[in-house]
Amino acid sequence: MNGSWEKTVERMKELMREYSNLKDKVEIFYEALEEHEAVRKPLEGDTAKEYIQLRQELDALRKRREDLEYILHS
Amino acid sequence: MSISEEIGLYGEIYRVATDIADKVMERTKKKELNIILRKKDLDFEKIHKKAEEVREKKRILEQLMQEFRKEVERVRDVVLWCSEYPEMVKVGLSDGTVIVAYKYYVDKVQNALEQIRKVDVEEVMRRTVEKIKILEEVVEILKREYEILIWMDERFRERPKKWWDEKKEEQEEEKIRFYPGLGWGRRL
Repeated sequence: MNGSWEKTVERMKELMREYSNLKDKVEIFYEALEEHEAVRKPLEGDTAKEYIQLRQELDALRKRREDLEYILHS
Repeated sequence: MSISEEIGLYGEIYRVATDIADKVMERTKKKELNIILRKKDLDFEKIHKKAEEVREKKRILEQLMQEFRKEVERVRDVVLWCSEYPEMVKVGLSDGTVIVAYKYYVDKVQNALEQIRKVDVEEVMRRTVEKIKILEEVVEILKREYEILIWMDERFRERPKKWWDEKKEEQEEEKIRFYPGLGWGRRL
């Protein structure tokens, strides 16, 4: 029991480190994206289509993540 | 044992040790003299050696006494310091050492320990295991978000920022405004 619990705690710590690292990076890129969208020339052609699709996916992912984070921190 | 009792005990030990040391030193002096007197015309080398041994013993004893005095001073300093700071308390640690610490922090630690003792360990373990699953999903989502955001950032970086200024200028031109001497209108 103790050995397995230690492994669980170690895994939790490892995940928390990965989570915090990724979260920081993602936050920075979200800020950059907002700035790009506000001041840069919009994308065109196929890139614009792909962008719209990815933007939708991104919004859905963010929503799901925020819901899970709420459970995590509750 | 209270601090004053403790320092009293140290004083007592110190007094006894000093008496013993004085007596030993006195005796060794006498002994040294007797040896010299008795064996004066017999073996000077042996007498010299014996005297050296006695001196060495005295030196060690004096050194010990010096260390002991230092220790007494140190303890006295701590005790005086503690009496000046009533907010300090002596705390015995699990490894047997005793430290002097602020009562405020000692109370905090004790309260925290009490809180920890109240925690339902089984429940915490169960919730941690549950959270790991959620956290794994969150990390996977973040990885995909990061991937998409990098892609977007790269595409947008190629697009000019100046475009925004040009657009604002165009919007300005499209606005109907009042031109003195000409009346209301739009720039052509």
